[in-house]
Parts: sequence; structure tokens; C-alpha cells
Amino acid sequence: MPDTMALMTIACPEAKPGLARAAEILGVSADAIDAAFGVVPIDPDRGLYAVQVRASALPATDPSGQQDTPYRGPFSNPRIEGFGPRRR
Amino acid sequence: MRVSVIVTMPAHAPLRAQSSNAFSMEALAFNITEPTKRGDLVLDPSFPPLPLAARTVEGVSLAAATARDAPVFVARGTIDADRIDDVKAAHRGVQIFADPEIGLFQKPHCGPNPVGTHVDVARQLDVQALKGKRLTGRGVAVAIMDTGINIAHLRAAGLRPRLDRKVFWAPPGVAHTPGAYAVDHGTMCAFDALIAAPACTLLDFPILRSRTPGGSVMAGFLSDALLAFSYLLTQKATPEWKYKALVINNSWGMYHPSWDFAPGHPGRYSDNLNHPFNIIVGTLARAGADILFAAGNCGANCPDQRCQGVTRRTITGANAHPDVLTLAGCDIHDIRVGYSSQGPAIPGMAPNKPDLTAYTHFRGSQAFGQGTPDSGTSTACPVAAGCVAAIRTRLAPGNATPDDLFVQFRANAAPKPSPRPGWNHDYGAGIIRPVAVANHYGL
Repeated sequence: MPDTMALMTIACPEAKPGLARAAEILGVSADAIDAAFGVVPIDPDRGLYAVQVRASALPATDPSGQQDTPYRGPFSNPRIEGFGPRRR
Repeated sequence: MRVSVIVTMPAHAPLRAQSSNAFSMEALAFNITEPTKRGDLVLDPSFPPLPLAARTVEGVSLAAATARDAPVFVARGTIDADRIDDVKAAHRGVQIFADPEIGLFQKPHCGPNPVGTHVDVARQLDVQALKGKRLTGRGVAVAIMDTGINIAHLRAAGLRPRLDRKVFWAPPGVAHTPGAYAVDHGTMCAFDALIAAPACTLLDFPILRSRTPGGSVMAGFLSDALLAFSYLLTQKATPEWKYKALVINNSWGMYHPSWDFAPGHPGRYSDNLNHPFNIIVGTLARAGADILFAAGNCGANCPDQRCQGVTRRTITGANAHPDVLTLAGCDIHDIRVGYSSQGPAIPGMAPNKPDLTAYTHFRGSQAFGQGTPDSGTSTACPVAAGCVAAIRTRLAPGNATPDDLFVQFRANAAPKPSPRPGWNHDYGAGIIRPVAVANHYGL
């Protein structure tokens, strides 16, 4: 069964990080990062990016989200559907 | 301030006579030639004194509710609100009650059949007036975040859509065929955006065709929307970006809280502005994109079955983001459709959602078969997106930020229920009126 991916945010104010730098920030190996998803700018002015990481590779996180780390998560990645008719 | 009141007064001979005359077979109409004045109370001459039976310990004697026997009569009038106590004190036995305005409560539409057509919608939006002001969406990009667009279907429906095949993103595994996806929800949305903005340029983002494990047709994952938004954020900053404005239509969301992390989880999406998708929505809005979301189809009168019976606080996540315009739905008679999600939004997000109401449940694209309606708040959202795109034809985001523009869309909405202005949980600020917005900006 494939390992599930966890949606995380990382803070990297100096420049847009590559996969290796994102892995470093998260404290995981580079192959734990979802390369197809990549490092996604979500608020470049604040140096915030989203990545997907193999859930099993994630470091222990503070569930309160208050810990002083350069990353946050895991975040929910819910299913989404159209608010209209469905084709039967 | 004068207020309408209902007055009861003890019976006396002239009252009995007036009432008797008014309800006699001979009298077709009752008229008091002179209004009756009691202090500051002015009785309505067109309203005959009605005999009222007295309540006793045995109950109400209907036999006594006649002009001959009634101990009390009721009339209608107006009075200065500050004088009510004076009048009651000066006239023994007179009682004064509120006579509030009432109106027909029209039941929200819940049936399967369309109500009117897209032509009626265009008339309600006064698209002709928009066209007269050269507000057609020309030079404005409208991104349809959905199941993909079928341009051939739109052409067959008599439209002349423009599509930018270069500004395009699809989830992994989805064919890169902008404008050539199977006719579905996305085609319906594109059709509806073109009602008010026929000259806009469509951008096709088939995020609801995700092949992410666990996905199904007409479904995707929020991470696909995140990637699509990030792509647009990047594209918008490139020198090749050629559009005056970018409008993003989002006729999607979560139907039930069970699709999300549990309440209180720090990574939850529904009520968390620090969720990465909610962050990028704010970023893109600050970059000048007008972002619209459908309110949802979990209205109390006839919620979609996917709501699983949950009809309170169902506007969640980016659909309740403070930087987006959230659309409820009404039919062409300006009556809310019963499935349109009602506010307030989930705590933690912008409470006063929906912002505004636009048209739905009309015969339009017929993407789901001949005679079927374009329905859901999925339709209301692109109808409004077209209106925003029309205004953007001559109003750059540099002159009015998305937030400024949305304030004006709310301020210039037709109040509903009329004539009471202000936000309410069914209609938000009211029904969308793009020409009034254009007039506000002098367009």
C-alpha cells in the first residue's frame, strides 16, 4: 500500500527552496518529498511554501502547531466536489 | 415617527352602526368620510370597525362577535409612537397594538425543473446596459476551476467563446486538452460566466478531474486547487501575462465536515486561515485576482444529499474566506433556491457569508441534457464571475482592488428581502446588480 502524503508548509524567507532545501527544513530525506507536487509558493513575500511529504517520514510534530519550527502541518487535503448537478 | 397600529376600543352605538353597515349585504364598501381622530391617533377610514368577541373564563363566545353584541371593536390606524401611552390614558378601554408589515413568504424553489432561461438572467442583470457601456469582459481572463470546458458545446449553444490554451493547468494524469473535456459541470460554469461577459477569455483548469488516488469523476483534492492557484500566481507575475484582470471561478467545496480533519485539529481546513490553501487565496487576492466561491448546496429547505443533513454553518474553508466573494443562489424571480447554503459561515472564517446572491436553476447550457437546468450555487458563482469580469473590462485592479470591488458589489445589490438593507443569512447583501456597480464607478 502506498505511503500517504502529508501536506506541509515550510518557511524559507531567503529564496524559493528546491526539493533538497525543503527536505532539509523538514528534517527528512529528499526522497521523502513529493517531487511531482514540488515546492509550491503560497505566499512568496512571506517566504511560505507548501510541500507534500511521505507521512511516515515526517518528524514528530506538535499537534498544537505552536512549536518553533520552520514548518507547519500536516494539513488536511480534503476531497472537493462541484456544487452543482452530477452526471448520472 | 408614525407607526401603524391595531386599536381595540369599547363598543358604543356609532361603532356598532358603522360596523353593521360595513358588513351588511347592501354595503359593497365601507367608508368613513372623515378620518377619526383621537388625540394623535388617526383611524384608517377604509378599515371598518370589526366586532371582536370577548374572552371569558369559559372561552371565546363567537356568538358575541357581531356588530350588535360585541363588547369590543378593532380598527386600524396610525399614531406617533411617542403618543401611544397618552392616547391610552385619555381614552379608557382603548388598547393599541403593533400592526407590523407582512409580506408573502415565497417558498424557496426546490423542484427539478428549470425556472426561466439564461435570456431571463441576462435581462435581470441588464446585460444590454453593460454592453452599452462596453463592459463585455474583453481583455479579462476568467479561470474556470472545475471539470474542464467543452468549447464545442458552447459553440453549439450559439456562443462565441474565447479560450486561452496556453494559460492552463491540469492535475497529474489528466489529459492536457484545454477546451476539449467531456461536457460536464465545467462547461455549465463556462456558459454561465459568458452570460454577462461574452467577450472574456476563458482559462481552463480541470481540477475536479483529479486522478489522485481515491478521486472520482467530478471530484478532486484540495491540493490540486492549491497547485492551480499557485500556477496562476506565478503566471500573473510573468511579462507574458496579457490580461487586464483575472477572475477566478470556484463552484466547488466540501459537502460535509467529515471530509476534513476533526474540529480543533491545527491542520484543519474548514476554519483555519493558516491552512496553505487559505493562505494562497489571500495571496492571490492581494495580487489583484477577483476570486469567487459558491456558498454550497446545503440550504435548509432542500439540501443536497451529500450534506448528510448538516445545514448549519456549512459555508467553510475558502468558500468562507474574507478575501473572496461568496455566492448564494436565487431563481429568476429573485427568490432564493432552497438548497443554497445559508450563513453565517463557520466560526473562525468571515462570518457574513454568503456575500451576495446571483441567479441559478435556469435553462442555460443544458450540459446535463436537453431541458435540464444549470443549477446549484455552482451556477450562481459563474453568473456573478461574469458580472465581475464585465466590470473589470474598464476598471483595472490598480484602480479598485478586489476588496474594493466586492464592497461595491455588496453595497449596490438589490436588498433582499426588500426593502431592508444589510446582510442576512439567506441572501447576504442581496441580489447582484452589475449595472449599479458600473454606475458607481462612472463606467
